[in-house]
Amino acid sequence: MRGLIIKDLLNLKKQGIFLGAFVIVYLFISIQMGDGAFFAGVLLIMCALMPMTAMSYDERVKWDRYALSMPISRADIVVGKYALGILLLAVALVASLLATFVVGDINFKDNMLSTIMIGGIGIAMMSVILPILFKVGVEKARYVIIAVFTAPVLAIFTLGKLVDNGRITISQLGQINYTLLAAGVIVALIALFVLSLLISLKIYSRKEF
Amino acid sequence: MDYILELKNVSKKYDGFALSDINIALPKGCIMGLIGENGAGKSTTIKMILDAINKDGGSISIFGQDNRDMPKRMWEDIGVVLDESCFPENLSMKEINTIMKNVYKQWDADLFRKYVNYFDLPEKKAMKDYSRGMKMKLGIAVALSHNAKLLILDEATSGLDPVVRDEMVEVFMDFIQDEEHSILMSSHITSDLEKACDYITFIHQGKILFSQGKDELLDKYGILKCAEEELRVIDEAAIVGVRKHKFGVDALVIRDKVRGNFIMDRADIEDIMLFQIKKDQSKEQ
Repeated sequence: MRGLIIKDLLNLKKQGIFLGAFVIVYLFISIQMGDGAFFAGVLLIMCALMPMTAMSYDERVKWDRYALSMPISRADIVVGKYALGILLLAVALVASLLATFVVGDINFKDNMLSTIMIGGIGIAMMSVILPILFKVGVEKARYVIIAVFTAPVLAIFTLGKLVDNGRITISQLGQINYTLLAAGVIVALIALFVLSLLISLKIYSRKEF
Repeated sequence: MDYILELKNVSKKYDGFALSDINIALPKGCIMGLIGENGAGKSTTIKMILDAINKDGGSISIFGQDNRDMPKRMWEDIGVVLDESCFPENLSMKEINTIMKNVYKQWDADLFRKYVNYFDLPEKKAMKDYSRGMKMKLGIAVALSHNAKLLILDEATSGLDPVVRDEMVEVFMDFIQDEEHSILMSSHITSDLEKACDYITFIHQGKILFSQGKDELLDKYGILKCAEEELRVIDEAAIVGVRKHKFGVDALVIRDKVRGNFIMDRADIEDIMLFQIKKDQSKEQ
């Protein structure tokens, strides 16, 4: 599996250069704005989606068929893509936290929390997308993925509307037990991730190339 | 006998195409050629051997082990070149070396270097800038660089020029000098197979028409050139296929069954294949 992750990283190298340029530009903007969360948001989501890019490269040259003729199991290929996502997400998370620190935000604690939250959204997106990619391939999964992307935006938008309409008041939000909520979210995320991995393994074990 | 690869009654059904009763047995120290038209089922057979697609029935064993429950380390012993180059486009040959080092425990970087030098492959060029022939050579270099015992080659020589193809045949012949080694290679360039193979397996419309020793095959058949009237004298069971032309007929015949004094030419693998297919087509009409 190490070989597979190395393959993906080398193959994504060009994307990495692009990502590096992007990091510098956004870091600059963030410093100007004095807000690191924005930077973290875009970087984390981009990293969470790297497995998809890697899969589209694989698909183009029918890599999987070749890989299966090596001492690589079907499970290795699936777990490799999840590991790649987590690995890149972890790097992005560390980079984002560092950036928040560098930007010297007054709301350092808040921004740290929002960065971790965005990381969670990244994991959730990855968990939803990967089984679909393994099932139908990158080409066909495109529309589903657009939907997956829009979902969190819509959710935040709706929440905003509810606050605006007075259905949810700021004081109500204040009453939420955040420790409990955070714990719940973490458990739900882990469950979602594991479930996603199991579904992908199941799908891939029967796939033909 | 000890078979390195054995397929028994393997079958696979698609819409409008079915492979059935595929029986292949490849002994150690031998090269088997898989011939047939495009779409005859050669690649499908190879994909089933590699477990990239599921078979509907029958059994496939490699090194005496069912191919579906082979432990990972046994796949180390199989070198594969597929009809399409499967190397990710952004990678260079150097990077592929790094990857393979991490994939195969038995990876031999020195041997790999030797082959890529021999094939004259550029080190830093990305795969998307490699020509088809270069990719094929790289695939062959990879397949040969992890001490495999069995090579499975799907149209591995078809993108190469005659000179290189000839060199490849040499490389393959060299590979089977070790009595534990074998090769299964599909190709529609029958002349390559004729040079290299010990066994020829002919797949036609999803069925095996024959699978036997090459020399046996070449001894069995002959090409008879005569006038059409002369042909009528010959026992029909002896004639496999007939090709008419202006000056008479060419017929692929089974030598033993021809009585009388006829001049027969040697039939090559291509003749045998073409006449068999023709016979089949005329039967259908």
